[in-house]
Amino acid sequence: MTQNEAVSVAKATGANLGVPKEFELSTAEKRIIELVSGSTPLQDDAVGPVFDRIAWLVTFTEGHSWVEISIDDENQRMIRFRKSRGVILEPERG
Amino acid sequence: MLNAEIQNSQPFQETASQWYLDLLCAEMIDRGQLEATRYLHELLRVQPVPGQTVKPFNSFKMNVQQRITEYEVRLNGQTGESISWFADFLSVGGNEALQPEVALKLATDFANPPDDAELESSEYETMADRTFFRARWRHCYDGLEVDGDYIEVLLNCAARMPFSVSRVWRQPNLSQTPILR
Repeated sequence: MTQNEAVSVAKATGANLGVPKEFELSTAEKRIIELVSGSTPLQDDAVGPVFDRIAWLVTFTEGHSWVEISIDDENQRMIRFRKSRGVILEPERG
Repeated sequence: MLNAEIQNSQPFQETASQWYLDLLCAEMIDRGQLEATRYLHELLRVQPVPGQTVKPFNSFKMNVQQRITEYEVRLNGQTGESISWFADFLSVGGNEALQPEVALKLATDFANPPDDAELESSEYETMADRTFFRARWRHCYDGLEVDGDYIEVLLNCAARMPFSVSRVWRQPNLSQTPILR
């Protein structure tokens, strides 16, 4: 997966989740991240056995607020979503 | 409980303590210091003056105690390994007495970074009344940064001693089998 592909997937995923449009692309870095087995991408308080994945960490910022969407380098799926305190998602209604 | 020596576990103590801290919080909010109220419970506690007895409809005295120093150790609950330690009193009196390369050498001796550690930053900093040298390493595994891993040493260069050492480090598990860390 290329950096551009990761950014495209992250942008589409962010739009689906309701990341406000004001957030702009900041960085996209390939890293090794830790995931808790059985947890969902939006779950940030899971505990239990862990494993690591190679992922693209794509961050979007607006002022001091940030959103980070991690895309699995192998299967192009979002595997982790994190945001700074106070960011309110605006999922499309309907 | 009548005529009993005041114990820390008495329910009235908690009620009185909460009332007083709430009062302080209200005054801080009134002064526009909303953010600071979040730390009030960590920095102050209200304790009964020793030697008093509890009687119905009687008043009792309490002291406000302020935390003046801090010592913290974090351990991995799974393995018991040390993750970090921090001793505030060891940070007092720091200065920029050492050349940065000498300070880095000293910090490296305490950090003992493994081969796959990469120096991320090393420089003097001043926060509030503390001047110290911070050296930080990140973890690079097969050319990729390991998210969340780092080693950091905060050095009091006047004492030539660290006052904080953190080591968050893991062997990446890229297999399909989850493990406990």
